[in-house]
Amino acid sequence: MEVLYLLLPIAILVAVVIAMFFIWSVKSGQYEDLDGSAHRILMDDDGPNQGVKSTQEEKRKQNR
Amino acid sequence: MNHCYHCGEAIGINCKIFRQIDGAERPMCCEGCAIVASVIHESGLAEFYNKRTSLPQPVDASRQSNPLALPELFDDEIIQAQFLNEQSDGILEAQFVVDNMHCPACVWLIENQLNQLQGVRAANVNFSLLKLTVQWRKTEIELSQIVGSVQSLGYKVAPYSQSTVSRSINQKYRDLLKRMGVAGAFGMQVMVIAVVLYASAWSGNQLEFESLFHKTSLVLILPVLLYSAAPMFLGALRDLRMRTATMDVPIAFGLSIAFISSAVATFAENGEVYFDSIAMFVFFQLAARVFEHSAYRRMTQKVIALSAISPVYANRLSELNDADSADIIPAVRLKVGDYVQIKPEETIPADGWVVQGNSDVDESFLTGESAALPRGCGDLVIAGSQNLTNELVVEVVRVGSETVLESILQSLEEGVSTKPSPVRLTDRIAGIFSAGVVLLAAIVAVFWLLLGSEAWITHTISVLIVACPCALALAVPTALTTAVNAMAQLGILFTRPDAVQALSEADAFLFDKTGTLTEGQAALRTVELYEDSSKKAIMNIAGSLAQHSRHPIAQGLVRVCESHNFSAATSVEVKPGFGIRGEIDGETYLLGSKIYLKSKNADYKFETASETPGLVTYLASDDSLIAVFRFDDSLRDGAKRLVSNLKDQGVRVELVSGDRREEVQRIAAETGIREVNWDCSPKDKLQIIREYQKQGQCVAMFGDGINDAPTLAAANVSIAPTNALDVVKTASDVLLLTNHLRMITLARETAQATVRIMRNNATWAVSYNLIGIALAAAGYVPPLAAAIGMSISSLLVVCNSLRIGRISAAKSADAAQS
Repeated sequence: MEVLYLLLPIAILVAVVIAMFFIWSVKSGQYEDLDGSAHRILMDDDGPNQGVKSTQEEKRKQNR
Repeated sequence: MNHCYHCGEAIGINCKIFRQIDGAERPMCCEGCAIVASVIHESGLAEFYNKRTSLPQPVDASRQSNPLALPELFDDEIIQAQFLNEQSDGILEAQFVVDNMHCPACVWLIENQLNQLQGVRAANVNFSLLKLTVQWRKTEIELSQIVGSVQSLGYKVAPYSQSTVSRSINQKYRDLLKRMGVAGAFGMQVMVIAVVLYASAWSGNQLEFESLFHKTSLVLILPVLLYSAAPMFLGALRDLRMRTATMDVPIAFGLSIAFISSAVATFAENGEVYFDSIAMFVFFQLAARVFEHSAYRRMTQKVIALSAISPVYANRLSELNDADSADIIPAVRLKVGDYVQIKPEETIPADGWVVQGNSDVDESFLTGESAALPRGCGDLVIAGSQNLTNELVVEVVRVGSETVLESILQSLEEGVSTKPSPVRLTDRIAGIFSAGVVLLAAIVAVFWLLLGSEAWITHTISVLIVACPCALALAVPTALTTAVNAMAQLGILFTRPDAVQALSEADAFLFDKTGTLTEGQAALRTVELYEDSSKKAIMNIAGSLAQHSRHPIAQGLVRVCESHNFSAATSVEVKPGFGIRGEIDGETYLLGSKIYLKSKNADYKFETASETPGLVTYLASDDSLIAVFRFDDSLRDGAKRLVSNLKDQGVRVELVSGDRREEVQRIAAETGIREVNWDCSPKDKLQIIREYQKQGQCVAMFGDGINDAPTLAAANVSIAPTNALDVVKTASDVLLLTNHLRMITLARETAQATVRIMRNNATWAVSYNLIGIALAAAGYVPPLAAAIGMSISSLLVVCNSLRIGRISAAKSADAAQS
């Protein structure tokens, strides 16, 4: 079981990585709106009105 | 029955406005809705009507054309400087508060509308904070176009200028989140190791690498204690320095004991470790604080959105007598000595003397009393008041921070920031709790020493560890969070969670009369007819004249008329503040005060005997009186019930009004309030509150005018209705979104239920600790038992707190039924 001398430091490292990842996600504002995203995913442009989607896609291309 | 295509308002059969949308004629309730619906349709976003889950408010057509919302103002540099950020080359970013957003489809609508605009790089709506962030290229589009495009969809847009309050709230939210995340990440690994340790203890075999596992846990727990739990330790230190005690003291004490004894055991390679309990404890505690704070943050933000103030414009005349020289500028650019033209229905942009014109001015924002005040040459008008009837020209004497409005706002902000919070239930027992635990531990230590046991240290330490107040520390925040969220769903916004406790403890309720217990606007009480004619015909004549005036009484008259299809009045002549004269079907009619009628024709026979207090208006034909209308500020639904309800609970109820004695006493008699104060200035009101607070009473204040604002700030808990002024809303602790007095009773009952649950929680948590201490004192509590006990007791507290949601829903259902 000497492998534990390797595994336990890795466990510490994993914790550090997770914590840093979380802090980054907070700093980048991903927890600012906890309600909007849940709804936004349902607001897909799949209605009969497809005109909007195409103009948006064009715009996205322009912006790139 | 038709319904408005845009807002869903019921329209009668004689709907006049239609718009061609999606190949069919759609009925519209008003011009405003019609414009918005056309815009939405023309932008190709008609999908909005399928996506939305709730209906918007009718679009106020007057607001659509309201110059207050002039998008051009947003292009002014001074105004932009307050909220604009330059991102990178040529890209600007701004944040706005959007009012009227009611369902997620609004998010979709606004984002899509803006993303279609040429030059807009990104538009993002934060639905929980009702905040819109837009990035655009400054060479391609002006900010006014962006703002105008959102306004054309029927939303109110105002710059989101981060106040220091909201900035610190957001910072604390992120800070708590980060600390919780770190506690979670490291605590998770500590738990994994703990499982190994428990499994080996369970099987009874000595674990080969036990010491290694302990040391790893020790390393893992360091960030949890040093970073995540830092606020708790700092709080405890602050308490000790100030010689008070909050929950931070027993928490920090418990954490230190657990850590030190575990660290000693780790290096001595002998004894118990409690690292997993520490990790779980800190994580639970931070999670509870995050939830509490995010509820607080959401509510504050809602109030900010509800009271967002758009930039005010001014119509400046460069030549006094030359109306053509007028140009529209933002009010912030006004200087002392400028001449400003103010049209009817416009807001007065700065304090000044009237130099031309006569008009009625509504200063109700200042006084709370909705009476139109006549203002003529040489009179002072105050920024923020509303010009009602005629055009005025004003010479500016005070601008910016020197205006009366601004000085009130400043004193208000100071009042709010110094407002005392009630001492939390658990903080009240924290001191006794800590002292008790230390005392018990000492007794246990002495007892085992006297018995000559070598294990006295182990026993004492385990007493201290099971006394760690995990559940007790959760008792209040979990209950408050559930209560604040549950009440928000009923339309009661608590902007400070601590106000829940203050509301339940309030034993003196002060009411401002106008707009709180009463409607706050002139309501027709009686109509006396002098001639023998139908009331309907008379109302028609009166309404047709009254609609030509903005005077509150005239508006009140128009409101009560059943149909708004008045016969047209010709050659109408309005004398502001006095009366109206006009011809209907060839007959001349006069509507107005006694003085007005006498000035036109001295022959009218007025009855002098039946003169009652209140506002009276007469309708007369050319030669004789036709009718007399009596108005007063009528009681709101449920006012009587609310007062008797409060009285039954032994609460002191008092009217504190700036109004005349007769009016106040009439309302007092109607509602059954015995303690009455009239002619109160804001200072008098403040004095009354201070007096009560000195007597040790917890004062709740219900008010809606700016004159109430200092009092609202001073009261232990302040309540404002939704139609209150913006600044008043921000000053109040509780905002009622539904305009029904029943809500106050509901809020109070729920607050009381919440405090009961908090007591339950605290009792349970303390008794858990006591049982744990007894077991530990008797001999032996293994670390596993301590950890399980801690989790289960915390879980029970959380579940108990969640009951508040159900209780408040049940209470609201009861209230709706009765």
